[in-house]
Parts: sequence; C-alpha cells; structure tokens
Amino acid sequence: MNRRTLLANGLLLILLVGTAAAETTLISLEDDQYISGEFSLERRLNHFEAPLRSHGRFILSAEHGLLWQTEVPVKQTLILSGRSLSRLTADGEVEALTSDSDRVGQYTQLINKLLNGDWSAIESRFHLEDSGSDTDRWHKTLTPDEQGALFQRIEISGGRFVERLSIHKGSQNRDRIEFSDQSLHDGPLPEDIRTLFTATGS
Amino acid sequence: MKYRALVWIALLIAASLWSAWQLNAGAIAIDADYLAFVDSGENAASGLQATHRLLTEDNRRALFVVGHDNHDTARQQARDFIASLKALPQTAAINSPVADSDDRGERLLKHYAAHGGGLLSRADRRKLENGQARPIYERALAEIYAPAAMTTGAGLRADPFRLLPAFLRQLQERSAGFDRAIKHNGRSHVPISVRLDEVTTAQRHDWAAAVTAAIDRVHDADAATQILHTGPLFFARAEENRARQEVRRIALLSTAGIVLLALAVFLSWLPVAGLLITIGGGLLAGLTAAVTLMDTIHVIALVFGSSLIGISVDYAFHYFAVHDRLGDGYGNRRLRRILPGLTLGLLTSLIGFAALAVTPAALLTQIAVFSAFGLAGAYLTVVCLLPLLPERGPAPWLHDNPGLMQLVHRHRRLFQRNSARYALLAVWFIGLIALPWWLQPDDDVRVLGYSEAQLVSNSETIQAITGQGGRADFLLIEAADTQTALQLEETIRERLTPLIERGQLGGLIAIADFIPSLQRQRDNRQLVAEKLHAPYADELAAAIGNPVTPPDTDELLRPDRQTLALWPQLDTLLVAQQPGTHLVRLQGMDDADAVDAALADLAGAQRINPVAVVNNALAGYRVWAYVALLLLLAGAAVLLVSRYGRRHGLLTLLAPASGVLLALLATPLLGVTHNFFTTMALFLVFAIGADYAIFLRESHADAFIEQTYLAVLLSLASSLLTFGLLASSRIPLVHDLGLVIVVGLTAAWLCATLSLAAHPDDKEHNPS
Repeated sequence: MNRRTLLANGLLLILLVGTAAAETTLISLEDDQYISGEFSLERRLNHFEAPLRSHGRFILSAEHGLLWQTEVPVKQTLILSGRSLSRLTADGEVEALTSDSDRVGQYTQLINKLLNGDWSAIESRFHLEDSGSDTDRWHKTLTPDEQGALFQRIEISGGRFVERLSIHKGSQNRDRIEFSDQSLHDGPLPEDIRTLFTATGS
Repeated sequence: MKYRALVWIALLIAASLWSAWQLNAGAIAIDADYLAFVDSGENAASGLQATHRLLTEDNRRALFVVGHDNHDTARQQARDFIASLKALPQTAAINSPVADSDDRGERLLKHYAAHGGGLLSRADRRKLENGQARPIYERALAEIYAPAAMTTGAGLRADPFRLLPAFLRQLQERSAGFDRAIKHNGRSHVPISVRLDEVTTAQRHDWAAAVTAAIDRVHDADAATQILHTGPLFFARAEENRARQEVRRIALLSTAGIVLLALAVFLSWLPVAGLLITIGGGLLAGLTAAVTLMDTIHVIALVFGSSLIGISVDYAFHYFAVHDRLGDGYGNRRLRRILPGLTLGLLTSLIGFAALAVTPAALLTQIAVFSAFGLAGAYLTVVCLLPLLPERGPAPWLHDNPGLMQLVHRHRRLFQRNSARYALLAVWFIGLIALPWWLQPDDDVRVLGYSEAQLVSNSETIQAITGQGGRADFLLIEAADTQTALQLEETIRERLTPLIERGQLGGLIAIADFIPSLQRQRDNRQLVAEKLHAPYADELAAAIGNPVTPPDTDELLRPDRQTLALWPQLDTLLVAQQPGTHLVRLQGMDDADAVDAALADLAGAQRINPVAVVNNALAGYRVWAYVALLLLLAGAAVLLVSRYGRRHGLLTLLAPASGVLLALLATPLLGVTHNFFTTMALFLVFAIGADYAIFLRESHADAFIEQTYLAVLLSLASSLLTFGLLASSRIPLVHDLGLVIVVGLTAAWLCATLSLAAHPDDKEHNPS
C-alpha cells in the first residue's frame, strides 16, 4: 500500500465518519421502548416580572405519551396522552384538565408529537425549517401555516434526543424547556407508570 | 245553455290564470309539516308555543357521526365532511369538536374571562362549599406548570386559581356532547351538529339530498370511514319520497282503472273526457279558493280535499249513465232529470264542510274551504258543460241487461225482508251501545308515517354513541323575569343532578348552565374570596414567585346577545317576547316519573313531552271531527226530511249513516287505528254514500232506476278501485284511510236501497 493509497483511504475514512456524524438524528421510539430524563422549564409571562420555573423528571413513551413529574416548586404528576392532559391528585385519582376540543388538548398532542419527532404529522399544520445543524445536533424552526394558531414560533433542537424546546406564544409569553440526563430503555413501561396512562384512557 | 257554458269556461280560464299567478308569486305556502297541527298563534298556551318553537328548531337540525378506527383519520374525515356541509347554501351553523375549534376556544375564553370570578363549575362550587379548596389550588399549580399550558400572563392574573378553564370544560361537556370525539366499540367517532337557515320544506329536502350524496361519496372513497346521519328532516324526506312514489302509483293505476271502466261501460272516449273535465273543474275551483282565501295550506288538506272532490266523478257518472236515447241536443233535458239528486247530494256534502269550517282547527277549515269550493266547481262543470257534449249512453250490452235488472230488484228488496231490517236494527242498537268501548282511539303521530329502516338504525346507533336523541322532553320555565328564571333553572339542575348520576336522565341543557344568574355569580365571588383567595393566595404567590391579587372586575355575565351568540343552541331555549319564559332541554330521559317527582313542589317548571303535545292536538282535532260529523248528520237529516218527508228522509239518511257506523265497527278488526285522520275519512264515506241513496231515491219512480243504479255501481267501482289501492299502501296512515273508505262505502252501498224501501211501487218493479 503506497502513501497515495493510504492518504486516499484516510480521506475516505474521515468522509465516512463525517457523514455518519452529520446524520445524527432523533431516535425513533419503538412501542416497547421509552426515554427517561430530567427537565427544567422556564415560563415567561407578560405582566409577571419573575419567570415561573420548575424542574423534575419525565418519561416519554411512543405508545402511551408523556409523564411529567414536577419536583420543584411543587410535587406534581401530569400525564399527557393523545389530546388529554391529566393530573394525579393527592388521593391517587386521575383528574382530566382538558376536553377534546380545547386548546390545551391540541397543545398536549403537539408536545407529544414534537418529543417523538413525528415530523410528518407536524408538517401538516406547520412550516418546518431546518435552521442549521452541526456534527451531532440538529435545529428546527416551526411556524404555523394558518392564522390564529396556538403559537407564533417553535424552536426545537437536540441530537439523539430532544434537548431544548422554545415555544413563543406571542405577547411576550414564552416557554423554554431543557431536557437532560436522558436515557433510552428497552422493554415495556414499569407497571405503575403504565397504570397511570391506562387511567387516562390511553 | 251555451251562454251559461261560455260564462263558466271564462270563469275557469280566469281562475286558472289567477291561481297560476298567485302560486308563482308565492302567495300561498304549502306546509308539509306535522307541526301545523300545533296551534302556535298569539293566543295559544305558552306550552304549545314553546313546543312549536322547539320542534321547529329540531326540524332545522341534523346530527352526524363520523367514525373510523384511527382517531386522527376520523377527525380529518370529519373536517372534510364539514367543508362539504359548509358549501351548501342552507347550512347556517356547524358545531363539532373539529369545526373552527381554535377560533371558538379563543372566543369563549376571551368573552368569559371578562367576567371571571363569578363563574364556577358545579364541582368547584361544591368543593368550596365543603371547605375543600386545596384540590383546586393544586389543580391550578398543575395547569400553571404543565408543559402544555396555554396560560398567559393576563389570563393568570385575572384567574390565578384557574377556575375559568374548569367552568368552560363543564360547559363543553354539557353542550350536548358535541365538543368531544367519542370512543365507542373501539372506534373514534366525531359528532357534528348542523343547524339550517330558516328555509322552506323543499329547500330542507334539497339539503338532505345533497348531504346524502356527499355521504355516499365518502363511503365510496373509503369503506373504513362511516358517516351516520339522523334528524327529523331526513325522516321527513324519506317519508315524502315514499308518499310521492305511492301517490304516483295509486293515481296512475286508479286513473287507468276509471278510464277503462268508463270505456267498458260507455264504449266511447266522450264520457271519459266528461269525467276528466268535471274532475279538473273541481280541482281548479278548490285550488282557486285556497290561493285566494288562505296564506298557507297544509298538504293533508290538499290530499283530503282532492279525495273529497273525487265525488265529482259520481256526478259525471250519474249524468252519463242516465240515458234517455233522445239523441244529441237534449243535454239540458237530461240534466233536469238528474239535477235535483245532484243538487241534494251537493248540499249534503256542503253541510259537512260547513260543519268542519266552524271548528277552531285551522287544518279542518282548510279542508272545508278547498273541498266545498272544489265540489261546487265540479257540480257547476257538470251543469254548465256536460249538456253541451254529444249524447253517449251506456253500451248496448247494458241496456235492459237482465243481470243488472235482477241485481237492482234483489238489492231493492233487501230491506223489505224483516231479517235484513232487524239485522240492521240490531247492528245500530248494539253498535251505538258498544261504540264507546269498542273504539280505542290512538292519536300517536309516530305510528302514522313510514320510517325507513336504515334511518331508524342510524338514529339508534347515534343515540348509543352520543347518548343524544331518544325522547325529547323539555321543561317550560315560567318566571316573573329572566333572573328569576335562571335561578329556577339552577335549582332544577341541583335537583336533577342525582338523576343524571343514577342514569335516569342523560343530561339537561339550561341557559343558566352557560349564563349563571347574577345572584349565583355574586355568591360564587364571595365563596372564592373567602374560601380560596383568603387561605391560598399567599401560598400560590410563593409557588409562582409572583404576587397574586383577587380579580379586579365587577362585571357580571348577563344573557345579552353577545353571550347567547356563543352558544347557538341557547337560542331555542328563550321564548321570544316573554322575558322569564325559558325552556330546559331534557336529554335521554329514561324515567319521566323520577323527573316529575324531583320537581313536584317546584312552582314555575312544567315538563312537556312534545310528542304528547302533538298527539293531544290531534286528539282535539278528532273530537272536533266528531262534532262536525254529528252536525253533518243533523243538517243532512233536516235537508232530506224536508225533501222526502220524515220516513223516507230518515231512511235515505240511514244508508250513509250505516256506512259510517259499520266502518267504525268493522275497521278495528282489520287493525285500523282510530284517529283524527280515519275519522275524517268518514266524511268521505258519508258524502259519497249519501249520493248513492239520494240518486236512487230521486229516480225511484221513473224509468231510469236501472240506469241510476248503474251510475251508483260505477261510482262504487271507481271508489273501491281508488281507495282499495290506498289500502295497499305501506304508509300506515294511507293504508288505514283506504280501508275505512272501502269498508264504509261498501256498507253505504249495501244500505243505499233503504231509500227505496216500502215504497208502494216496489212490487211493480219485479222483473219476474
């Protein structure tokens, strides 16, 4: 093998590695997989000087939806499944916070689709733009197709997992959610978690 | 004679031009709605007005359910279907979870947010009353910190404990289930409720046809999608289509039958033309009277009226059958021979129509006007035009036909036998005593029509999926003013909620659910201030890191036009021009007694069953029809006694009266329902039956008795043909009418020779 061949093979290797890195995409969850991790949420509201902040843990399942467990400032368990947003009461009961037609229901469904990377469903109502990527991260910007939509703009970025979500609601109302310490689990959801989803009818 | 004919022809031409012009200008509306039976005028009781209003509204509504195994596909198919509904000009409003939900949700929130603090869901109010404010506080935190929170700064400041979203969720749950997609048997179903503009019956039917075609297109394109539809307008259209098909079939067959009969008897087209001219003259006169004297005519009045002026066929048969072989140009002499009988027959019928016209029921007046003028028109056509026609008598095979003469003789002698007289006497004696027990009136409007099996199945499935449909009772609220009515509705809600929880009642829709009374809103504000803000404001402020202040608005929600416009279904619950008179819709009522018991001591609330209201109206019509029938009998008795003397007058009357009695006694055995409509059929039995007896009586002494008998036979045959075909109908109402008339006329014909009974000439007419 001469030097020219070595150089060519080296370049090819670099090219292959580079291509592989550029193709880093959001993992696609199978039905028997789920992601767990931590989140921190910062909610800026007009007329309120201080932003509202919370953090806690989450579990995301393609089959069932999103479990959102706030630990600070209050302990709360929320279940987002399909178009339904529910909370676990102190009595252990599941209380619905949405009806099928209201905006929270639509928002709940959108959040689930965003975290699952269900771009084809999102594209039916949003203009989706790749707003830049580097070797191990991707960025997307979503703008609604129709007037009077829920949001002005959504920015989402991540690598294998969604890492940051910024939602601009207009009138200086804005949410920013960061996800960290995420890991992929093979196998079904733990029984107690699945029971919660089942209680919401999902 | 010619001068008379020219005047009548000129009048008929003028009448046809006038009627065409009036019909073209829309001077008269044809009403096909059974609601016409419910008196809704200014003087009608508020219950009747309310029923009329509610049923009128229901007739403008349709309900659809779009189903698919996949939730998103069901929603998308529903959106596409809604687009096709919106494209129809008659569509006024659409209510569905997938119809304009973004915009609607925003509008609701904005409007109600301006009146925050006084609006509490029933569950929240209960919790606060019971000192359980903590779950409400925790729910507020959950909503504020949810990843999918629509909270804005302005919204949170106005409603820090998030009471308004809970109130709006409750409204959406109560608003007839049309704000949620529904899972049923593993499939997703999207309900769509549609309200039409105030359009004519024909336009409603056009809309139903277009919608049915759109549904077929969806089913053809995607077999996995199922769109079910229901609503009174679909049933009405199916019923009208069925009725139209049957009427076309019956009209064609009976006209062909009568023409063949006339051809067989007269062997000439001339009498056929005479029959058609007479019927046409009668119809035109009836129609002209209707368009001139009325704004609206019900289709039932038209049908009855047209049947009654079918008597005009008898006049024409009578004219042509009484044949004197004098040849052409002796029409007037021929007419003079039958004119007394014809005139007496007309007068007897007019007495019946006059009796109908004096009843307070608009429908009966319409029937009376149309029929009286129609029959008079037919009579004048016979008198003025038929004598101009060349002479055409019965065919040679009927001249002095021994069979016919034998029949006349035997029939004539029927009531000379004691056995027949006693039998008839016994029928009358037993019949009059037994009649009140024997007749079991059933005025239920629901058993009259023909319901398409597919529509009934659709309706039941939709009821199972949405919990909507079924018995549509309502409560009539009568209070001194609007606010008192709203408070009464709030009390009703409290009392009926246990029934809803136990499944005895599907639900209810009241204006107070959407716009609580001012008193309730003030109470709510006080409750929130004392039980929620006072103990939890500081804790909430600490949790969100911002100050929490009580709502600073004093504005209360009122039932103004803006608020009512947000909920189209509320429009029907307000009774116009009567502040304080509201309606409350009861849904899926399984136990009416339980509802009555729960509201027993509540003044100002009355449960009304719309079907019962319509049925009661029909029962009232039936009673008025009895009265009119008795007046007809009395009037005819006076007329016949004055013409024939007491004995023969009453015997002549006895023939059609026996037809009526025997129809009343015999038809229940054939499964005929006794109601207003079958009672009205007895008028026809009496009017035609009276003609039989009068025609025979008038010619009892002359040489034309056999020919008159032939005319009566022809009349009977044509009536049996027409009404026998009606009896073959699959529409219960039409079937029953046909049977009553067939039985009654046969009996009236059998008894017709009573008018000849015990006459001194009887023995001379024995051909043997």
